Amino acid sequence: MELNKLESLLKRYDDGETSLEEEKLLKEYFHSGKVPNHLKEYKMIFNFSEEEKKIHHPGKIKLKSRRKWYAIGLAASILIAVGIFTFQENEQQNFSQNELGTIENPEEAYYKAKETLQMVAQIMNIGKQELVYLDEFNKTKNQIIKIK
Amino acid sequence: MNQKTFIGVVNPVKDKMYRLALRLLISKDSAEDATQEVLLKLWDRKNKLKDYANIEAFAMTVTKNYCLDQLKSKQNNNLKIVHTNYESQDRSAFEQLETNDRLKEISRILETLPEQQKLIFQLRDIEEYEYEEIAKVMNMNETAIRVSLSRARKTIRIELLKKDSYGIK
Repeated sequence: MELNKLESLLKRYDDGETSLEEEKLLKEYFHSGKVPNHLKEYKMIFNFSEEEKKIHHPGKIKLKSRRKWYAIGLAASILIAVGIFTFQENEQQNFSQNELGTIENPEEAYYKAKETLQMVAQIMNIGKQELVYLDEFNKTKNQIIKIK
Repeated sequence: MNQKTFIGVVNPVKDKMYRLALRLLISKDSAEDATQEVLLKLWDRKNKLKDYANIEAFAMTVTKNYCLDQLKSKQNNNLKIVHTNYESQDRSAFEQLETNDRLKEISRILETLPEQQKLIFQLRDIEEYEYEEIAKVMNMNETAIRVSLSRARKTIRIELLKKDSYGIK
């Protein structure tokens, strides 16, 4: 395209007077070849328009109303709440119905209790072993802050 | 109209709707939500839809109105503030890359334009609509649209020129 024609076209483009066909011509021109330095802003604008046209909607169209899902979610959560409530109710009843003291012989009861406590103590000790690492904190802290 | 024909009708338009929403709302998530909402609205009104002669123009009008409402509502104003905060933090880093990525420059200039000019520039220069169609979507007369478009085009170029001569003069 000759520079004269190009410039008059650009002038009309600026004034919003070009037709779609003319704008297409301009886009093609600025897309293809070298552009005079004083027109490089136009090149950017036309390139921008082309690039923007390549943006696509990322998702799929969902035609199911989300409100339905809210309703389903609400129903499900009510169901769960009711379920937990009744379950706990049963549990409590079972607990109170069970007799707690089932061992008659006092000596046997003593051993059983001792065994259980031993077990608890063992588990406690295993747990406590992990706490050794806490000492590291104190060591480091003492290096930094000296408290007499 | 069943679901399949609806999607067939709407599919070629949905990208345009998304781009329009993106131009106004800036955030991709908001734009996607907006497109989705508008499509649902159209789907709910599917029986009336065949009365509208030009579904595309109608869909674009609804998208435009929805996005403008979003911008007006407080809910989205919060989003907008958050977003501009984010942008402005990004700005200094961006300025270093400026020479590499000049196209984003134009996006930023577009952001500063009044909504009407944004919309008209989007519809004409990017979606390549006829003035007649833009008039329908914008509910304006063609002369007013030409004036607004001309302002937008000129502003973009002048701002670009300013950026270019920055540091030289």
